[in-house]
Amino acid sequence: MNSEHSGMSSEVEKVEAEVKGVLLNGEVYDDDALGRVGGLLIHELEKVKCRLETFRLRNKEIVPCQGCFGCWVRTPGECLMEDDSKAIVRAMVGADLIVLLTPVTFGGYSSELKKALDRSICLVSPFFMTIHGETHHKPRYDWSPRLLGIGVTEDRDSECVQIFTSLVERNAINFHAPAYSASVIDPKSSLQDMRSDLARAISELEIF
Amino acid sequence: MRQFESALLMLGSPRAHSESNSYSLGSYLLGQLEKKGVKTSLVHVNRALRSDGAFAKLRDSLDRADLVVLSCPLYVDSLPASVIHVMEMLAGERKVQDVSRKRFLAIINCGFPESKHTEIALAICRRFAKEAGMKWEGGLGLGGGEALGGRPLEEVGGLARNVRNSLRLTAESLVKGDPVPESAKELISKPLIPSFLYRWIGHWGWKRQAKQYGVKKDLMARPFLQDH
Repeated sequence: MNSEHSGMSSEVEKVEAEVKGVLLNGEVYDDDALGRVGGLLIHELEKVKCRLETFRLRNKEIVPCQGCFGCWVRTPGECLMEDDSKAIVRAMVGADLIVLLTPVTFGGYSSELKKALDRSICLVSPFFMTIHGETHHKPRYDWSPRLLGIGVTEDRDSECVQIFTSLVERNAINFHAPAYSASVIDPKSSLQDMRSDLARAISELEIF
Repeated sequence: MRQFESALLMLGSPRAHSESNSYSLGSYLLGQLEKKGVKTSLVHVNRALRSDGAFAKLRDSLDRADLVVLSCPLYVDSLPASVIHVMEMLAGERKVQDVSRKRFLAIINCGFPESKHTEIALAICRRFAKEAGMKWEGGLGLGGGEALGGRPLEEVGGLARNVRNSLRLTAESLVKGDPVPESAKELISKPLIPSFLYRWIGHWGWKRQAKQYGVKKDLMARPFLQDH
């Protein structure tokens, strides 16, 4: 556990390691609501003995993807740009679970979370394959973490839930995740409701 | 009667114009609008994020435009982070700026041959328009955008016939005050070339490029595997 990455909890280090998780925290500004949900999320993951490495992305130096495909054809598997994204990609390789925590932003991810994901395409191969009749990239590694997407918004409606869950599902396909789960949490909900939503999302991964 | 006088292209690709399919698509639409007397201008999303002054210029350009056209590539099933960043900033200002009469549309191109991959990104754009108080005029999703090679659409020939017709229909509709027509959405969603051919050319292209950099045999390298 690299506790210096953590923006929310240092107690995760005490947890017995069984499942290795990487949490990408897409908080954009000091956000009490997202912090509250994040704390509950970490607690629920601790309960199922997930060893988390957390990256608070807004504190990381990550240059936007330049769309050059250098990570495919010049230095295969690695981006040409040297910044904090390398440590994040390294952590993602070999993880059992990737957790995306983000304020729901127009239904999707925040720019902070997205800047890290955009730089992670080196995890897949440039070559194509067919999944459910659609073209996708082949995996690069014999590695398949599950994907958990947790969106936080006080403006939860059916459209934003639909966009968010579809986006997590599409990411799961493109990153070849064997299972995924997504939940949009309203931080105005009761603690009990939030806990049970998070616990349900985690249990749907069928990893613990 | 013309419904608007000015249009702004917000270019969401970090690539140079000569290599940007987003620029090929957006500039062609702007060209069609110019033929109908609409004044056009261009801002680059990535450049606008380099300083407060640069963002202020983007904001000024947006304030002056009646129609905003976002043209950008699909990144990991969604919009590029830089585009989302600018949207966050613009939507955050909605309470102090009157954008309620502004019209917004998006053109998303992706590197997979199927246009279906662009649907979520377009839904995010629709939601942005709603939250920023702009009028959503519709979205155009193109699959296999790399086949355009960043060339001006006029130079691409028959390969881009449907794309040009789609953008021409879109311009005609917009100047009448109408949204992007369904016929334009259908035309641009048609594959530029058959999927199997696109993939074959793609695979050949990756190998060719890798050979230029001396890494053809390493295309499937796993540089982080030894760390675990």
